[in-house]
Amino acid sequence: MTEPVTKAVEADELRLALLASAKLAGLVEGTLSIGLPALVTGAPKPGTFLEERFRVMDAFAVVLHYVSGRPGGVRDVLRLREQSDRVSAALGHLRSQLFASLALAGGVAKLPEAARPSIIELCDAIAEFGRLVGDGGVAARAKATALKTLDSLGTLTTPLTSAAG
Amino acid sequence: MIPPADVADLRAAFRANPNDLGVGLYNPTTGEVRLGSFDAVTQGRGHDGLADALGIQDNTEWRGFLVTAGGQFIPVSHFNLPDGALALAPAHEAAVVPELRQSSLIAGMGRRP
Repeated sequence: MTEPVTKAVEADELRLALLASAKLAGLVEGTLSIGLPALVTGAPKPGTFLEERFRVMDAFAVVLHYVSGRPGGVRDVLRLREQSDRVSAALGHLRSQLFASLALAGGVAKLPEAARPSIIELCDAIAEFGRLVGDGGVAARAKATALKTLDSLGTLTTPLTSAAG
Repeated sequence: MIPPADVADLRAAFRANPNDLGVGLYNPTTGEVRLGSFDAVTQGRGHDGLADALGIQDNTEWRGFLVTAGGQFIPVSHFNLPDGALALAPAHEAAVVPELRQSSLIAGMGRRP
């Protein structure tokens, strides 16, 4: 485990990195706690919901990638960018898996168990980025919520929605 | 009764973004029902975000659900897991749905196909 980069990054940049990584972790929590059940039940419409959520998460991953350092801090900044690249890759992989399961099922997916490693990798990547800038607690909570939700999808045996009107 | 400010805020959020979601929490002990926009109130964090925004200390005392701008009631949340499933327990659904109807956020009664 490598040391945090807190000395290599200006205070404002560090604050931005902390806030953006915590925000991204929260977005992962909201996306998966609602999106995973939606894949199974079809409500809310999983394609629409997930498309918008991944668009926003991708944007925050870009923010993580552009955190800059003090003079002499390039190597630490590059360590941060390795992690932000890892976050972006994990986001892309998870997105592909969730949409593939949706496409295969024609709108309502079977239990997306295959996404478990991608969920873990994404949360761990955000947690590690957070640790490098001083905090990774939000990502740990997101991971716990996502896996708890994934583990419970089997309790959703039928669509559980009511139509308007 | 759902706080009128919750309903008004959620309607405003739906007008701004019809793809937004209403995130709902229900306390079976007190009967409270609270709502918040997924995008504008929960910080994109869903039920946990709403619970934090409301200053809720013990999430296990609350259950969760969703409503859409189109009036769809979705009785699903990981907040329901203390009852053994992601789905809102029927007794809790029976308490929440009339509140949502009274607020005209959903038009029909909840049903379980």
